[in-house]
Amino acid sequence: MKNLGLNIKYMFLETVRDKGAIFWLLAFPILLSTFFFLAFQKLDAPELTTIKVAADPNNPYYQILETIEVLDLEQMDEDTARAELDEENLTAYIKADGSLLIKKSGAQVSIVKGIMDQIIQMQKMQLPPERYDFTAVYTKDEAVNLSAMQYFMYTLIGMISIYSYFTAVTSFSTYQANISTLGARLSVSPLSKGTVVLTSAIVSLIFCFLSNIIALLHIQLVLGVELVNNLAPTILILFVASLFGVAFGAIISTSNKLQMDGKIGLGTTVTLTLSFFTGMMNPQVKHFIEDKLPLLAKFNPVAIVNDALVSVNVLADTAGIYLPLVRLVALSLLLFLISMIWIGRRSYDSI
Amino acid sequence: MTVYKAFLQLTWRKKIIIIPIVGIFLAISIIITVTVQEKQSFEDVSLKIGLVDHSESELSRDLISYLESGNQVHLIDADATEQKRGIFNDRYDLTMTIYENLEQNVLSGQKAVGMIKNRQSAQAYFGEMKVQKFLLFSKAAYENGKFDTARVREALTADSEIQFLAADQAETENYVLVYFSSGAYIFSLLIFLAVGMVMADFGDEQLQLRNEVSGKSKLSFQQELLLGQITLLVISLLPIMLYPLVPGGNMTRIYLEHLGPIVLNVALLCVAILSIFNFIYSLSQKHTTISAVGNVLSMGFGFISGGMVPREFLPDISLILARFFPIYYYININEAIYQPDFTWGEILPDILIQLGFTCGFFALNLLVRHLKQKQWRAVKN
Amino acid sequence: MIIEVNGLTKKYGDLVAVDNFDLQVAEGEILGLLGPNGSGKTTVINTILSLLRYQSGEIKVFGEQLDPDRYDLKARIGVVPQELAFFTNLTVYQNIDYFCGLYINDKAQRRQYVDGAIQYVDINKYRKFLPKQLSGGLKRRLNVACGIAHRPELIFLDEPTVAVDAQSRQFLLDNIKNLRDHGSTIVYTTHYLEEAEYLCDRIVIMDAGRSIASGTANELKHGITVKEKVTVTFDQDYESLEERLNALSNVLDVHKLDERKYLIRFQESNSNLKKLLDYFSRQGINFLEVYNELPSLNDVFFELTGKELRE
Ligand SMILES: Nc1ncnc2c1ncn2[C@@H]1O[C@H](COP(=O)(O)OP(=O)(O)OP(=O)(O)O)[C@@H](O)[C@H]1O
Ligand SMILES: [Mg+2]
Repeated sequence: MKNLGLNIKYMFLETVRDKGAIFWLLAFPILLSTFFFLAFQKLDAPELTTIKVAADPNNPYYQILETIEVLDLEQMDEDTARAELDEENLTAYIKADGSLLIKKSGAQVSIVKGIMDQIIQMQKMQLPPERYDFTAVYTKDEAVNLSAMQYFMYTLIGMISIYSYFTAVTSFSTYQANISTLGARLSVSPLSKGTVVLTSAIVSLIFCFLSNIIALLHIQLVLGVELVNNLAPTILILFVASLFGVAFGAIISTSNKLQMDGKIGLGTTVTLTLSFFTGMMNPQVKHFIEDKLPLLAKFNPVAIVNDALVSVNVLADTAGIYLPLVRLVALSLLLFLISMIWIGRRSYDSI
Repeated sequence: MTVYKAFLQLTWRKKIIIIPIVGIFLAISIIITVTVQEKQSFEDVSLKIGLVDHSESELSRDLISYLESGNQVHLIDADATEQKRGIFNDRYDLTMTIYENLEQNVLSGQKAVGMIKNRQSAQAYFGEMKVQKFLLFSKAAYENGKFDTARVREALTADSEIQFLAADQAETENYVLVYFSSGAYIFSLLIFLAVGMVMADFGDEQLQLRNEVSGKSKLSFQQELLLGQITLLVISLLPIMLYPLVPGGNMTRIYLEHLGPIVLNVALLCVAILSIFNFIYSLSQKHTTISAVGNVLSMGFGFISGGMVPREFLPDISLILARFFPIYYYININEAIYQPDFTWGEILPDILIQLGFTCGFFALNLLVRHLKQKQWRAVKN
Repeated sequence: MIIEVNGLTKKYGDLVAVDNFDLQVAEGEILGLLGPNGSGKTTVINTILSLLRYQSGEIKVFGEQLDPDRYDLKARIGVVPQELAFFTNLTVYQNIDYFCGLYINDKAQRRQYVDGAIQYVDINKYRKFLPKQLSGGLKRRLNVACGIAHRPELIFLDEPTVAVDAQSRQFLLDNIKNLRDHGSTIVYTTHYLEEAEYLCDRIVIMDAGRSIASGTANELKHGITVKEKVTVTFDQDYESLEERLNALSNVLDVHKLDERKYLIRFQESNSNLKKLLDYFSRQGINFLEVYNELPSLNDVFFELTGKELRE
């Protein structure tokens, strides 16, 4: 581990002076989070107030329906109602026989149907009305205030930390003989594997962590999405996330003899897959993975980061994050170890 | 055709990495449609309920079995924090905790079931309504120190009738539509990755310039290159385009019915993005830069153009911004194709804009190359 | 022996780049690896440095096998690769300092060595420049400096003078000799004959991956049949001149180079020019120009391969 300081100093300089890389390091999280912000702005649907339904005033159910709070009942004949339904101004039309006319199914239709079901079912119970205790409310509500925007932003931060593998791949690949002549030159020097891994890891970690912090600041301060309620553990999570990003870059760089373009393509694909498994394109996928492939879910870094950020900042549950984070750190160290075994310091068939 | 051949040779050499990438992208496309397919329902909303049963009485078991019809009930043992996490992750629409003395609570009209839900969502309201109804009926049917569960169960089978305004055609066609909507992101990223990968070996700028200087005209060089890229794309996209033929049934039928416009739409998107790729490539050949740009553009515009989030949820500003990238017009066309009253005329403007992207960026690409070449000659002399 | 290579064979797929190659490098000598493009010089060096796997043969450096993790052996070696290899965002000084620092821990000593290397390739004016601000030749000089700053015992220089101007090249060559005089052993590849002849104590000529001859420049030249070459330009056409010249004693062969210009090659260098001039005056043959040359390494190469080394 000779000359670690010298290696770090010059590797840092080499990276920080690469204007293109630095630009993307900053621009990437900012641009992506802005896009996400735009896409998810309206995803938090408005609260349920009332449901628009209509019926003929002569409808035998009309009077009962009028008493139900959640329904906004209008008088209408069937022909008018058909037109209104088609325009989607109306959720359902209740016919005289108690059947419903709708345009498409959905939660609101289900509620109306539930009400109509209840009326029919009470007839079928064949009990006198006084047996029903309409005053009792059996359910006790607790509403949590969670927005889809927040959810996706937490996922995004997990993803960005993995995307910071860019920096690490570049840094680790500097030392590989088959990637560049510089790599070949370094390979014939007495530079030890340990120094190589430590240098690349430390320098990349600085930049990755920075990139994550910038993402967080941008989302919280510029876009105004409330993400951080508990700063210290949040920073810890970001640090561990960056560490994993770097370890991921290390393994992408060292595990194969692909050229840079191949390594980047491989990394992007894996990142996309992990984000996909975290439900980025479709939340159902995350549950599918959690149920069917629990081990993958446990070690999916994007999911771990997302869950940990939610725990700390939304659920005020700090104790629960340590085990997953330790898992992530352990996974990172394992990847570093494997990289160290694989990196450079070997002979190639062709360089 | 030397340039074309060289490009194909390079492609062949990169097969070890291109094939797995295409494979994974195909798998992702398929999983998306599979999960969408599961969600299709024409009747009641199916709720995802996380349920903790502290009562474990006959009544609670009856309640659970009632909820289980038509909904997914997950019996869990989780505290409030875990339940909230489940809701936040969209694992549950709501969670319920049946308190210990369910039967006494019901008889005395006290709170019997705790619920945690995300705001006043309609789904959660629907679930709450069901519980309330079940307990209301149960108490009403209580006689001689016993809940008359048979009576309640029997009554609850009664059902009101639903009639649709019209046979709901558009809805059944959803999954071909979804497959190709979310495909926009996949196609775009795949172009950046696969073509970028082969171009990397072509990328030696000096080589290109030398080629251009040595008699081969810029235009014909670029044309052959484009031809090579398109060949690569056709091969890479083929599995994704062929997949809808596999499941048979509705999906395959709908796909075949609309095959012409679908293929045209994908082709237009691909050449437009290819053209943009080449323009970016003329500015920078760095792998990390190209990959970052590819990711930002594909994912960003995939989202704000309505490829992954339905357009009704997108704010106007997104849809305005989205017009600066071909994915928007691709989604326009994709949404028009399956309408029963679809005509070619209505997608003509979108087609023209896609071609505009293609030609515009091709011209920009030539311009940049021309300027660079001039610069290079100046340096050389 | 500092380096011993026996029966080395290296293939890239089906292409045999190095074919049953032997090489011995003694301590304190400059060994020249001379051969045309693609003859396998770089491949030999990379194989010795264990960058490349090989199919068969045995390689010893400092008497030991140089495995990829023999840091102790690598610490005694310096390499100047054929292609430019340094950090693009570090200055000239920082680059040399970095590479030197991989071998030399002590700061004061390192500063002295780095300054030495900068003098050595004469780039003192450009210490603070970034590589992209340097001309092609200056970059090559930086490339050399990065490989020799730590004053290694064994140095590989792979065509270090390509694109370097004549004056700087001479300076560089003299300094390489200087390195040898200070005790370094040097392996130097080139396809410049003059350079090999001027610089190298011993030369190995390579072609198509094989070693086709080795020895000092003089030994090589003496080893071939041609010993002297005379070129004559005549004033007019003489009858059956070529046959007449061929019949002279010691003449190996005669080549018509031009309209009236002939190259005569002799087997012995035994006052051939004088005998030839005597013959011309006896026969009343007039000439416009005549000069003699001793054989060059190119002749050696030509005789061994039937190809010109120089294009
Ligand atoms: N990575 C490689 N893959 C395949 N073939 C290679 C590779 N590197 C070199 N070769 C081939 O091996 C042979 C020897 O190449 P090498 O670079 O050793 O020649 P050289 O003597 O150094 O030539 P030059 O004077 O041009 O540097 C050549 O035919 C070359 O084409
Ligand atoms: Mg060479």
